[in-house]
Amino acid sequence: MPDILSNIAMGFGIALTWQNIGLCLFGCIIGTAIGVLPGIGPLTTMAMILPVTFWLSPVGALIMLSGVFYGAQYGGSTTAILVKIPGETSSVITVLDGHAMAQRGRAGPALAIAALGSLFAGSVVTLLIAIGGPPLAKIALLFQSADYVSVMLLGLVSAVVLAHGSVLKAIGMIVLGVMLGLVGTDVSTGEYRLTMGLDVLFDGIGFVPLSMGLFGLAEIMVNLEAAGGAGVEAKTVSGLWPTRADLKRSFPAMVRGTVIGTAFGILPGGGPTIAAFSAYSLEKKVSKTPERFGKGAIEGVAAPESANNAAAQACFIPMLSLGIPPNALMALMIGAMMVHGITPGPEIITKQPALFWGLIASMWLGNLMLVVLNLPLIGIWVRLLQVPYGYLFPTILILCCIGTYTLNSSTGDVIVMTVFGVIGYAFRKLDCEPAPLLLGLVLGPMLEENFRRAMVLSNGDWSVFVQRPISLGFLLLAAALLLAVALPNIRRSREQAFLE
Amino acid sequence: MGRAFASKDFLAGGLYMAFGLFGLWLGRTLEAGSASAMEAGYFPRLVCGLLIAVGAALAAMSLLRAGEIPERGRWRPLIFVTLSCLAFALLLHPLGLVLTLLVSILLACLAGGQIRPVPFLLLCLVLILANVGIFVLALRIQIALWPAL
Repeated sequence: MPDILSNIAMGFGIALTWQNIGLCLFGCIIGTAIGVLPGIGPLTTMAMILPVTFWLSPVGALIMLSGVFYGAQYGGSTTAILVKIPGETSSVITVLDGHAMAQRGRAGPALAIAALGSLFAGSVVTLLIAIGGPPLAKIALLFQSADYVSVMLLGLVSAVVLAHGSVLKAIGMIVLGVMLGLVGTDVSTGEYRLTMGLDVLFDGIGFVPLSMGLFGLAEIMVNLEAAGGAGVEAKTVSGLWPTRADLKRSFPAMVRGTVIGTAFGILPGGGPTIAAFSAYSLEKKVSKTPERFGKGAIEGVAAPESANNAAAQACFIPMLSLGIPPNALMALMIGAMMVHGITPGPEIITKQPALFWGLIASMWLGNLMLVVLNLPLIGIWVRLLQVPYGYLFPTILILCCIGTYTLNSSTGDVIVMTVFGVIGYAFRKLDCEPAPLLLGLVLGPMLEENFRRAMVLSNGDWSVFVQRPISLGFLLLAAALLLAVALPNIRRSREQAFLE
Repeated sequence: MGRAFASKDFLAGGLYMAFGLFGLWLGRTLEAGSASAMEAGYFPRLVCGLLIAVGAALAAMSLLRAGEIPERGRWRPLIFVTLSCLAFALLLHPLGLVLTLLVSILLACLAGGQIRPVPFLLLCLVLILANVGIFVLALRIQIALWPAL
């Protein structure tokens, strides 16, 4: 125990130097400002800021980048709540209830709870990493490819359980997402697959163009259609602060979200997205009034926002201890470390304790700063809602275009986005929920890689997935979930939950 | 009977099958290999096959009960939003950012219906200044502002 305390103290000693506080603050402000712009999520923001960090010390660089990360993630949730464009996959689920709250004039409380939930999760996980980080990294080491495959299947199944409407449709959307994730260069053989010979697709279908098309553009088309050209009414906003009832409802959700987020964050291949999805479906399961979900339930904001932040922070564990980036953002962090000559791996915690603990402490600091910075600014973000749609939608459309373009300086990506805008419009017309597709897209390549490796290791024997206890456990859990949805009486209550 | 084939579920099933078949066709030249030594084509075939199966099941089940028919869409937003984005993609390099934004904003506003000249010009001015300010001046992203002469 004294060990941990001294480690945390050392971490804060490093994070609390004026220079590092300044870097953290700067990162948070830039991150939020850019993250609020629709369609530009943490990934884009971090990629744009990365070159600046080359001039800083390694700790300073990582502290600033994680500030940008949290700021942009929070900014991404802000746009998810206000204009229904998730900045990142992990805030896709926040759209459901967050935007519903905004439409009922409760954008303020939704934003406040998102920030408070993130702070709560961040504080808990910082402590957890300090206490359990090193031993937990050893457990994650036991995972083999077959186990990764099963845990990803579990994540996909939970996405099905939570999707609106028909189960088969949701499964179809996920499988379609996995298929779209395969487009591009095959990692093991270097062959181009399903690219139609177009060079924009050689590196795969980008997450940003796809999600901006499916969510941003399709949303504009549907809104304009519904309102007969005038667009949706500007919403009135009453009350920026959560009520006592809101807090009472949100707190247990934050706790559950944090637990789930931590668990999924530690598993490589888990990460914030699955965590947010699972936390949301759990919240709906345990709720006494599941019919409120999707229509502005505050727990539906608190749980996934806590979970994705907890997971985002916990996924530093596999990254720092195994050198495996659980998601694209962590891959970027690894890139930043490599530039400074640090190789992520088991020796980081022992050999670079200052870096490890300084980073952990700065995460907490970053979360605190976000709350302090953003709660007073909520009024400004909320004012975005009062702009008439006739001005708002061309702005969103232009930002989608320019945001997609700046990612790779590629006009081809803008065309990809446009194509997915049309496809997304068709999905809306056919009641196909696009969120599971995004999850499939992100997990698809990882799923294939681990599936291949597992099959090579088992010499083509499919039973490997049920022979390993860890894998079997995840599969049984996934099967139980699917069965639960398929059973008639549960299905009926689920349909009721989605009614209206 | 005609109604059954126009239900949302039937069309969605058809769409899934179309994507699956298209994927199979695109990947027709990829080697599949075997389960123990997978080549580039193994997993895509597995996934496309699954997608076709899910689509077929969805379509078949939709015929058993009367499903909802999709609402009629309006063409105007769909076409002009698409045109606006395409214009951005195709005009950016020859025309530079400022003129491209003008064209894209014009097309976007047409998606919404009537254009009133004064608010339209104000919107153009604000959006162009903001985008040039944020992306070109502050973030230093390399985009030409004007057509290369």
